[in-house]
Amino acid sequence: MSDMIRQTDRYLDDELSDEELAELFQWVGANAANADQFARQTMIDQHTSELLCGGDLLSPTRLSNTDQQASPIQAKPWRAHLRSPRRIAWVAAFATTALLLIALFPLSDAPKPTRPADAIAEITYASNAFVADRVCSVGDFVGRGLLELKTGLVRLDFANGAAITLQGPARFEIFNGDSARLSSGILTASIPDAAIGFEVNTPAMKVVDLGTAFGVSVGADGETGVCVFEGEVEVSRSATNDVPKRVREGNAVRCRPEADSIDSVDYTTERYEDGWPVTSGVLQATGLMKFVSPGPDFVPGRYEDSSRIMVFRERFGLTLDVDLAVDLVEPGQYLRIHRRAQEVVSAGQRVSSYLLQLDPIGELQRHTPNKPRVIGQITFDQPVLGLIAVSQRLLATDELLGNPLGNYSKMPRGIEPLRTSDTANNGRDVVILSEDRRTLSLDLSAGSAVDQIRVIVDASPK
Amino acid sequence: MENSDTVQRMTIEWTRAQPAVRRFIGTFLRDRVDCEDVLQEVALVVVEKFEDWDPQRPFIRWALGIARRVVLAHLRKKYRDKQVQFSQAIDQVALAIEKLEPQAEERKASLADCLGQVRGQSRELLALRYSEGRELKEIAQRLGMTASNVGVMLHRVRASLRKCVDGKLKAEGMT
Repeated sequence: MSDMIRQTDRYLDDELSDEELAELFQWVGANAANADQFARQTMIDQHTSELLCGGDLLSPTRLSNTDQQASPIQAKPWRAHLRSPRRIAWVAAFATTALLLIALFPLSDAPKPTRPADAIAEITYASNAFVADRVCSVGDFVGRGLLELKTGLVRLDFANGAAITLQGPARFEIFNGDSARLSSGILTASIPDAAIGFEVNTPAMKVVDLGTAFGVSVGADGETGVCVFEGEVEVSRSATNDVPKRVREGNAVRCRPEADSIDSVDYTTERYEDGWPVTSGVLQATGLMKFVSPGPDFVPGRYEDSSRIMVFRERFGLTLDVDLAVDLVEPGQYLRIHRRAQEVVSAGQRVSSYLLQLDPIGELQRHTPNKPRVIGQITFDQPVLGLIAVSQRLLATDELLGNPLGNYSKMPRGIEPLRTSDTANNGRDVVILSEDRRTLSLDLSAGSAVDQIRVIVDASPK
Repeated sequence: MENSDTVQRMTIEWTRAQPAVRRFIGTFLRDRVDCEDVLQEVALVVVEKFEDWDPQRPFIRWALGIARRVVLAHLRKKYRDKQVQFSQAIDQVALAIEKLEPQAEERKASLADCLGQVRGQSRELLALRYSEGRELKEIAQRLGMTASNVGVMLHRVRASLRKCVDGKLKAEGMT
């Protein structure tokens, strides 16, 4: 038996020859006890993979944090979460021609732990995240000190509203709520008005935010790159009295620790594309749904992708002056979006907006049979307050909720039925909003017109 | 399929059975993309044949039965020229997974506890293998060891995790 236990582990590591594989499966098939042993081993392997890979992000199961001495992370009690009853948050449905079955679990039903007095930031997202020899968990608090992220992604939300996503390996030291140092690694930051002036120091540069979103990367030799996605930042060489240089959105600079100047470089965002969606409030986008790159060229009307549902961040942290009319607010599955339905997001609410768009290739006719279908799912870090999917209402809210740099079409572009004779289950678009309001699933037919849906997400301080 | 009660029933049953079906497929198809493709294939057959399901029988058994046939077809194609017999193993493992499924979440929760206790090089090894998805030879290069030694170390870490999980379940009165 012990030989076969070892062989099973080798099987899990793809180390078996064909002969060994044949021998293993002969043993597994020989009787129920062998199969049970094999199934238990593979189950542990699959669970380990889910727990350590971030593939189980939406499960209430968390890894433990027991060692708190050498890190600024203060783990919350987590055992209660682990044993809390599992709740199926929502169940998707079957569309007529496409199968869409997803069960999601809310991040947690347990009460939020008390914030320690010396906490500066909270981990609000963690995927594959190891700090020193420990696992980071969502809900852990972070105080002053060095955070050495070995692998994965971690988002830190500061009390002043600044959101920073670190991409490991990274060395990040928090000085206080307004300043930090990135010695190596990559970060993306989104800084609201309340946190303007947030400083990121590196071995080569000081970056001061002026109300913006940006990325910073620091190599092993201390060379620092700064890429400004929105707004502007001030940069200056470290430990100098240089007059700070302003860098506006769509621009990038680079500097080495011993260099005499900060150089402008081409604006490229590839290295920030893992962290940016998380910083922007999107925890996961799966299926044929893709979060666009950050920057002024990647806005509605300027950037297109015909085969995927593109996700654009439009506005961030906007407070509504008046009630906002929307088409949907309740969780559920929608096969039709009615033009006359009117729900409201109340004045005074702080919101962020995102535009989800499918812009199909070519000139498919409206009645073309077997139109390609595109299915995608997106999970936000905060609840969805409303959806706008009717053309008229999309047009009416472009100015308020659209990206200021976007070029929005005046043509019909919602996903409501185009004619009153349209019926449900006719192969048209399906929208599903999960029970916890954080996950939105789209099943769109790639017809001739652009399909758009505007998502209004809660941006209240957590 | 037009009947909304049928769709609702199917949705509920499939949502319950899907983790076990995925686990079963993943046992034999180690590549995650292959696994998801086959899961989708199974789901489509479930939709197509749902009316054949006898509600007197457990849905999970019926769905695993479909998965067995689909997985077997894939493995036969993959190992077309090889002398590997899968069908007995597939049948036995489907039964074992159905039996284990009621404990799956408890097992996972216990494993999470156990993983939290792993330290030092073992932790690093797990991170490289599972978080970064590295192969043994890559891990060996990184740690300055032979691939064979890495395999042995992983085997030991897994053995200790299995022991830890079994111990916790036993303490909770589960076997």
